[in-house]
Amino acid sequence: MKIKNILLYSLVISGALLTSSCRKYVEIDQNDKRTLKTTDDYRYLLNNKGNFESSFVLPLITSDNIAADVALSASLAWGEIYQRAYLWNDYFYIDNQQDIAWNNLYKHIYIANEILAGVMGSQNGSDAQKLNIAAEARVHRAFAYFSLANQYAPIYDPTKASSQQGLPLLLTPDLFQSLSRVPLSRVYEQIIEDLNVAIENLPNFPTFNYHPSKIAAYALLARVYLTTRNFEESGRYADLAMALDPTVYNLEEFTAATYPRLIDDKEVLLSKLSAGFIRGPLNPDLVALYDQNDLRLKMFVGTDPNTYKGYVYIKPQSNGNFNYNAYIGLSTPEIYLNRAEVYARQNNVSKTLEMLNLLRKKRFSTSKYVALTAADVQADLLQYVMDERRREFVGTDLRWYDMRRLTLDGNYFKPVTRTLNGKSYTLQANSPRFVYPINQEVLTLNPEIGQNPR
Amino acid sequence: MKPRLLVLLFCLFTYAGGYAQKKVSLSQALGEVSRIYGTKFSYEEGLIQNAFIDSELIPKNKRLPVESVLKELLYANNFLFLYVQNNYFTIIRDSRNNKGQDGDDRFWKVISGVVKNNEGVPLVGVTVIADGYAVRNGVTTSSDGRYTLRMTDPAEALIFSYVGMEPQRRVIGSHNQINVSMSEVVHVLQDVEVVSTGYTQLPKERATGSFGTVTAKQIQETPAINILERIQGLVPGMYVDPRNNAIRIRGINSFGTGGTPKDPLIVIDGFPMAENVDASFSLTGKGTTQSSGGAILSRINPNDIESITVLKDAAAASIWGAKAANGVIVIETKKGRNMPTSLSFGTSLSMAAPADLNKMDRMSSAQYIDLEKQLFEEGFIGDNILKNDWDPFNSNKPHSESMEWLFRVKRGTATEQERDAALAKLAATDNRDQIKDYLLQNAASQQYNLSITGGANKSTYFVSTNYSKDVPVFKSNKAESFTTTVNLTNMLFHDRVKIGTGINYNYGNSITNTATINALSSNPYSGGLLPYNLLRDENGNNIRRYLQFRPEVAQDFEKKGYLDWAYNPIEELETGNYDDQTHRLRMHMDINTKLTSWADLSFMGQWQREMNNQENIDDVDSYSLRNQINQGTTFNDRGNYVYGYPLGGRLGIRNYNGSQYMFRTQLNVNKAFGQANEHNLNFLAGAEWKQNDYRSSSDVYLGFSEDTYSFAVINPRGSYTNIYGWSDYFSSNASIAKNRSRALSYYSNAAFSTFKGKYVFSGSVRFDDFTVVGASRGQRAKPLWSVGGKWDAKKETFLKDAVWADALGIRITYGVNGTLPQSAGRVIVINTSNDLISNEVTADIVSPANKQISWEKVKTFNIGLDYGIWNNRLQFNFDYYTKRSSDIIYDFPFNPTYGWTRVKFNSSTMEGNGIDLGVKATWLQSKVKWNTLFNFGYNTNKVTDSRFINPTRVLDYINASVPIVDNPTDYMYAYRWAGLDNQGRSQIYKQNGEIVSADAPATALTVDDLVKVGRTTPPYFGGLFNTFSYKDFTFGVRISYELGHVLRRLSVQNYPDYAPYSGAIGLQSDLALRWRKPGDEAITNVPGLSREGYQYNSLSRYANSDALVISGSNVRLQQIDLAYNVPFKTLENTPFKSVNVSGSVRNLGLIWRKNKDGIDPTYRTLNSYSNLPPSPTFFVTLNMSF
Repeated sequence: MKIKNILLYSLVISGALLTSSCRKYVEIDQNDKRTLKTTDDYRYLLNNKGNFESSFVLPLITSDNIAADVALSASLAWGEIYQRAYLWNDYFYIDNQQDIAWNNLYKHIYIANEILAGVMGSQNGSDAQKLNIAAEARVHRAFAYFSLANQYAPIYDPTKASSQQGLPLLLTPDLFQSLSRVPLSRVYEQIIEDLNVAIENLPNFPTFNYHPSKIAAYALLARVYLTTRNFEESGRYADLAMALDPTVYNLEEFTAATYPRLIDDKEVLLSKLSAGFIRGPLNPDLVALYDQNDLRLKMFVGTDPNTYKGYVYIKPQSNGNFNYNAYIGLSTPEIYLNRAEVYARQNNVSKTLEMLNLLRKKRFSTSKYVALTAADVQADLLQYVMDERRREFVGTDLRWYDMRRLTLDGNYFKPVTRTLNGKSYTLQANSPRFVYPINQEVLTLNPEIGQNPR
Repeated sequence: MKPRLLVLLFCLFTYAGGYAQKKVSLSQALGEVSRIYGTKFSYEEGLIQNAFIDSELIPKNKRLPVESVLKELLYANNFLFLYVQNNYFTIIRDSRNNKGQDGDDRFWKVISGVVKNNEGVPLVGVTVIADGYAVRNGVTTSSDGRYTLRMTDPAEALIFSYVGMEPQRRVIGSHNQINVSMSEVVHVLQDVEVVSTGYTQLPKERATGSFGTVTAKQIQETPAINILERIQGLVPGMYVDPRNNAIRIRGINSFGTGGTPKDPLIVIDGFPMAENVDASFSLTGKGTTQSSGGAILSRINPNDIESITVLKDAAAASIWGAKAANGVIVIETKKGRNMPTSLSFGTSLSMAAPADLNKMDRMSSAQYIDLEKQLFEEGFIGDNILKNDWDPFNSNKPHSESMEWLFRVKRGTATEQERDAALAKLAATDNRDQIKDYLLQNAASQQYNLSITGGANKSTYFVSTNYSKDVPVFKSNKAESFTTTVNLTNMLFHDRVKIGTGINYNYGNSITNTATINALSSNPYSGGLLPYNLLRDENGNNIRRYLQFRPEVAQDFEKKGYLDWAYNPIEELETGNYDDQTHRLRMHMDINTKLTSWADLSFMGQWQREMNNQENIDDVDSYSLRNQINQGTTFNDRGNYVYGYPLGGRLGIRNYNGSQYMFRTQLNVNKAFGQANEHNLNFLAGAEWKQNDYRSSSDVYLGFSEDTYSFAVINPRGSYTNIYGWSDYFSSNASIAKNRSRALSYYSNAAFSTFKGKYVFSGSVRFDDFTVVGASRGQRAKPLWSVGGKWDAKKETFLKDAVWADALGIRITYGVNGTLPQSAGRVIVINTSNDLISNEVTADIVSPANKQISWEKVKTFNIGLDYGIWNNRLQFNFDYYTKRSSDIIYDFPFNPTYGWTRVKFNSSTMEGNGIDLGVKATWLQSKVKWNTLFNFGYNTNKVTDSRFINPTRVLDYINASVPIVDNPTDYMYAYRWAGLDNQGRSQIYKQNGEIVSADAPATALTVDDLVKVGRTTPPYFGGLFNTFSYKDFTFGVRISYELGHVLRRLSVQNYPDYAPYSGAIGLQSDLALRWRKPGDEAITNVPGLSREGYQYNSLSRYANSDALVISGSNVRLQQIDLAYNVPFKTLENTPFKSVNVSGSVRNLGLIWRKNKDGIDPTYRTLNSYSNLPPSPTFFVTLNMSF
């Protein structure tokens, strides 16, 4: 063979190599690892409970549902962060300790932002599917901002909310945007806007309760307006939610049978879980609020004679194991109690009683149930509603938010004093400790966020 | 050998014509010789062109030695043949015919002399030729060993060569007489003359890179089943860790978090071995965890290996591109040779006793009871006889036997006398003999190998089968492997086209049973035995214990009709067998077409397939199933059982089906040119396509019956009520995965050697492109390159005659290798899976879109020195290298407000450097032969990224969880131990000598108070191999060493550090040394029991203090072997060609260790059985060929 031929061969071969679509050869789709491309890819993100469920835990310990004095054994079981939060300390975290609530909630926001930034331009999906996915993402984002605002931002005061320091408001998934805070009113505007935009593209009820639905959005709006003290609107959204006929379990059914697990729990409208668990001990004042026949006292509350030496919260699990995360999402009883509170604030006794009895009927065995009458609540209608909220919302974050709201309601807020390891602190209505400190590590990386006043 | 300026003509391909002709050409005749004997020849072009010989002289078989045949063929035509190396001759014209011509002045010089062997006996027929440029004068010695050489042209030296003797070169200078004493060739340490990069075979003298080679013979010297044991210590700089099934070549190149692999690439017959799912490579199927049962599965038959080449530096490895940064191991399997069929059979059997349980780090029964007494007295453990409020029955875990006696007295159900008698009896009981008898067995292995090789006219073949079986010390465990290899070569179209075909099938099967491993664990609730827990009573009946509930509670259930709830490890040996079967098939074909005498084109393809089936069966009789079923069993209203958890066994299956194809087309050029072909160009270029894909699925079947192979259908979203009265939920255990990835590469490699190889230049370049989600082509496909040079100083005139250097060469290379990030990219990467409860498809975001992600790069510089002295009987190969890794991907802290606490950036750097030194020596080579191979590797690295400066958290140092600038990646820091205080709690010195008590919080110690104790991987490591032989006996001693690293000794685990304490209590012997009373702090470092808080600090500071840091340096005697080669004379009238018998002992233990605590540092990191060094293993090996 001649050299000429070799050169010819080489040229043919190398030419073939370079001109064929070699790039295409390696650019093939992967089954398990892919980038966000199709509408389904975005749907999968929302299907993942892990992306939006685990949220925060400290409101369960900073609220007065926990006893003012805890046994050493209990505080040791809590660990340092809970101990500091229990005393509303100046700081909660040291060294590289992470603020799990801040991290989780902003991660929810990031994923929601990622979905909102890309879903409308995704492939192979109908507009209806895309709008529904975007709507779910907006509800998750609204829930996360609401939770953040009630932990890391001041108590919402309608008279000065536009000058109150809010939160870093991230609405796109950009990793390098400014983290300066926006006014608190702006945060709530965004929450309300997200929910309102979402509602029309959501189904009335979800397939699984970790998917946002119309009723969950109504319930959250009722809660948000209660927080912004727009009681009229709160009542309106509670009514809209009630019009969809939410389920409240008759607890008597579960005295013998097993309580449904979270995914099957029809009372849960949007499933969120606490990030970590708190066993107790519960405040004796709270336990004293229950009627002895109240089934919630048996089913939501238990006793632990060892570590916690008193009552502990056990609602989600009836298997004796307390070490589970609490349900802190949206639930059907909240709709009735939000409506009740609005009626009470409007001094509508009969309507308030109607709402309360709708719920209470399901919380006692039929034989022991006695309907509330006007005489029972005449001492202080709002106080009675607030007590019912405490009874129903034991072991959730809602009591902490109610405590914050009540500081604007004069005597309805009672200062809380706590002692631990020889340190004592009283939480007054005007205390800056109602706002959680921002983790120093977050501030070190982005000082423009600014620490909350301590 | 000295390279000669001859055209190398491999006559293998020469067509042999009919035998009927009376005269045939000499070249044809030589071709026949090559075919029959496998002999190679070299001669000047045209030298034998017109020579013809009698066709009768052509041999038909191998009856005569090849030298006799050659004498017949060549002497008649006035040719001489000179021995070059084994079965390789050069042919020259015999110049003795000039003898008798007039006058010495016609010649440049006439030299004479005598050639004798070591013992002074004259050697007849020694070839003497002049060594010089194009000088071809030569003679052979006469019957008295004398010679006279008349040289027509000037020459520098004479070369003496003789079959079986080391060739010698003598400088002529002004001598007229040169007498020579020749000595026998030492074959033992013969060099591999070519190195294989997987893409090409390169003569070693033209290789600029740093290569390590292992020969088939070296692999055969170790009889172990595990191939890692066979190659351990043989290549300087290659750290082989058979215990963890890992190989590291020249340390690691990355500390990053980008999923960068650390394993070298393994190439077999020119193609990478199929990767596992996790993209790692391994030569054996040994599980790295104890729970695998520890049996070895061979993935490759050690007897099939012709050679292993380890590519260590950039020039060597860059041809393999993006996966080569960690080095490449190139394995060539044996090919057939053109010779009559030869059959060989080998077998090796081994036996080892279980490790000595008396050396186990465990308290005695008395010490354990003593610990429980203290726990009881100080109220650490509460009684469990009463049920908890929330339970329908007493669901407490049972007490240990001794603890139960202590409580009986407290409850008033036993007297103190009864208790003391019972405890004394327990204290005198030791279960080690029973464990050894009933749960352990002698480890044994068997290997059988049969191979047939040969070739005729146009084809050669190599066929082998191998079976190996490994039985570890744990009963009911074993592994079997079966491997078949077929390698064929065919020449077609007048030898234009050569087709190589290879088929390899490997089957592995392992059976795992965890009963023994569980029994030896320290967790009593999973079956761990306390020191006094016997397995059988004196009547030989199994002792059965309750693990879940107190005996009376469990028996109560049993009376109601529940399944037997008791546990005995001996019974478990039969009930749960995990069967893992793997089939691996590898087929490749290489079609090589000659374009010219110096260029050829190859088309190569390989297809690999791996099928793995696992069947994990837990019988209904197994404890775990009985326990599970019982807990799921209730009664309905009519008193019938309701088996919420299906009554029956459990079958877990996993199927993996992976395949890989590769296709390659490659042009090879090997062209000599220049005056007398003194220059040579070796060039190749090619392209390669590759696809990996796999599908795997798994599922679990409940209610399984092995007899009928039936199962119970369950609703994966369903639930059942358990004995505690609450609900347990099923969930789907099925999984399925599938994936496919591709790679595309273009590569080229060139070596140019000038002036007979005095200077060599090499270069390589490669483009790799992979399937990576989210990476643009610009990020994926990057060029990798290397350049290298070599100077063979010995070929310089001024060194040619230097006696102080028989070989001297310097190699320098520099190049870039890369590693592709696996877990970060410019676009979002999501992982999808299924929610097992809702059955929805779910996704999570693995990494955010990061616009700054690219490759990790490793730049390697290597300088090597090759030196030989004493007729090359002492050879040194020295390499110094530096590696600079840049763009290492690391997740840096990020503001969680953006949704990520850490984000990956590839911006970190590290440096490494090291030394590889190999020494080969032939100390004695007469009757007694003594050879030594000594390997030494040194490797260190340091992080150079200044962002890793000064972590402020003490725990970051203690846990070595973050890289630190100027520190190696494997640093270890410790607290400065200040002894115990008078409460039996840890004290730590601060830097200024101040003592920090256990009460002090973590913040009391700062990073300055820590002491840097060293590195955790051995910086210095290697092996020393000595072989002695006398007549037909060979004796070998193999030693390996690891020096300069430290480790934390395991002292106490599961120490009761809070009260009330529940759970397993550690069994380590150090627990018996715990502080008991004030004053003990003078004699012990082990903290005492304390009910007070802060025990966690006390214990973790003790565990991480320098008091427990010991040196890991050790020298280990790996193997002693003695082999006997049955002499040829004895075999003359038998069908055997060779017979070799050998015996070896492996795992002989430490020769030296630096630590004074009596701890074998290789075996101390885990608790229970695996902290024991293995006991010696005895091998008997027989090899024979027909």
